[in-house]
Amino acid sequence: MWIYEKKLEYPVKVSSCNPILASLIIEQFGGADGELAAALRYLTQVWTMPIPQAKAILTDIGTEELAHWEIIGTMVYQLVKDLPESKIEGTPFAAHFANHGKSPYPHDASGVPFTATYFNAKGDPIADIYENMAAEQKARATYEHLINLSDDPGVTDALRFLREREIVHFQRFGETARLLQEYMDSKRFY
Amino acid sequence: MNMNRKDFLRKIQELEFAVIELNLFLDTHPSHQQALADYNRLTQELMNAKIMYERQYGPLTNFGYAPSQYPWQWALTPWPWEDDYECKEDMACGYMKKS
Amino acid sequence: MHPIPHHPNSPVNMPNPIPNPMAMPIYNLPPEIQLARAYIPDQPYDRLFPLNEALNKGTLFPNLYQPYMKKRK
Repeated sequence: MWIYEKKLEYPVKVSSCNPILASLIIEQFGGADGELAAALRYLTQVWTMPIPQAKAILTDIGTEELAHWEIIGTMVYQLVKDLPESKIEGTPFAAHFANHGKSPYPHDASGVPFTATYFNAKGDPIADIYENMAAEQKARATYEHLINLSDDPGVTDALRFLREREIVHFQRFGETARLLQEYMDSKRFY
Repeated sequence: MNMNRKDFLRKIQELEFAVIELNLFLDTHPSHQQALADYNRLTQELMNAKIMYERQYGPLTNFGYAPSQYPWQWALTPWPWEDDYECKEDMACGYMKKS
Repeated sequence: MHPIPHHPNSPVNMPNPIPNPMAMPIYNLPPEIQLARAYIPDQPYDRLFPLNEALNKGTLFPNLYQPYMKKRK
């Protein structure tokens, strides 16, 4: 069951109104390597994990990714909430605005809507854990692209936090991979 | 502790973040005694801080995790994406200050 | 130290600019390390950052802190 805590995991305050930046960081809100894909990936895989450490880490990192999704959504919203429509026209955010107004919505920076095909649960613990390790690296790389694109100090600050989280998650999944491998090996001997 | 709301919340974010990190470490190292001791120590600090924060600024979690003053604080206190931290219902929370 | 074998397909007169991994068999794998697997070392539990620093950096653990150097425009 999920309980919502009425605070962000990391204190976020954007430094500007910036519809272009909003249309870029939305990549991590609804894109293939973004936080929603990560959260659903891990929370979906957990049912078929055979050891308690894997069930715990997938549940907990999956939950943390939802908290990150909230951070990205908050930044997208803060970057555009005070803009008049005239300042949105002619920017990449105008296409988003035509459909969704100022509301965040899960699609990537190109406008491709979120899909469950961005992640998988194979029901095979080894395949699943390696997908997760790859996912964390792709997320880290995406944050590095976004850090290079950002000229807003408040946004960059939050992106750096989120990037470092991916590195820590990768380490945790790497440890889980070893534990799963040891478990799968031990099942070969009766 | 006479911090304003934003500073108090920041303190809770620092404590809870450390607790989350230790939680993840313990998930893959369940028999690590030092990590567990650190987790319990920080969790106690975090729980105390939250009780004090909630007394002043309203609940951080609902669904039965914390009691509420009248009127229903959960809905009326600021939401995480509202950086101006002002209460939306003048009538209901005239006593709440802008931080 | 094994001498780097000459790659069979490169001209005999040219020195090897890059060692050819195909020509360097791994002799000394520890017995518990197997092929066709990835191994991430276990994280040692050492020092913790102060709480304020940990939140700013995105991790409680100095040994997991790998900051990014932003590319110059």
